[in-house]
Amino acid sequence: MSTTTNTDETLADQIAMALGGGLMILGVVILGLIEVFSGKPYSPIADGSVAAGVTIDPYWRALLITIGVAVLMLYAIYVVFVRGLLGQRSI
Amino acid sequence: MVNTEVDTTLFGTDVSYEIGGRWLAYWTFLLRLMVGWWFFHAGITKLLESGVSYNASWFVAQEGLVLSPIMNLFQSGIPYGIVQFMIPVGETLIGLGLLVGCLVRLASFFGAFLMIFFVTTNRGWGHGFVNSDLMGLLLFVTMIVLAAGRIWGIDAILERTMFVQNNPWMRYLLG
Repeated sequence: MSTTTNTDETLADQIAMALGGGLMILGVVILGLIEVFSGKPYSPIADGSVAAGVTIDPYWRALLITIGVAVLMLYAIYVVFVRGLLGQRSI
Repeated sequence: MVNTEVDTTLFGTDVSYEIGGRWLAYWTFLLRLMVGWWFFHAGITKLLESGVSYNASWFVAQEGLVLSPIMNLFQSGIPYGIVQFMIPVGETLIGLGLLVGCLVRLASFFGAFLMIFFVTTNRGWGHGFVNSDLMGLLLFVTMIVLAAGRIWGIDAILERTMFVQNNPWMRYLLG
């Protein structure tokens, strides 16, 4: 059995994971659950467009996902330029 | 050497686990080819149809969307020309990179960048909120995390060269 090398978990890692992933989960899953449990329409989309009476406008859910992805992308840039240039261990 | 132990923490909690390394490698490779072909096909067919003059006017002119303020800046002139060029060429190069396993992390970064625009301009969410564009975005992030180019990819060869060994930061772009 081979073993991967453990790397130290930094504050930047935790912020990126919590904020980036957290916003995406909030936008997709949590608000999706609220949409379902708040009654019909169960999905923000019906017949190919935004459903009438939707609880949460998909614009805001999309915004949360966009910010979440942006956080992860900024983290990726940070990792390449800061950790890479400092010569820290790469993954 | 079949199993691999992923020895790590998440938010300070030990979440180490064991996984079948062979299947992980196999599926990562398969996913890379699938995603690569998806984008390569999307790009090369646009290039064959309309060269570097892809009609992206519907794309950049949409209003009321999350990224509309940014996209609307690219409606005319040189900025629009950049979009016309970058969509087909970018998709083709990203797809090609994944297919041959070259600069996979860099290619996937730009793939995810493109996908967030496609996700948020989903023609009035015509394919639902959680749609194939969102799945595609997640797949590109997966390619980055799994360093998919290291399995039968050019990146695996590049990472063994002295140049990359002496410049380990490049592994963030390869892999």
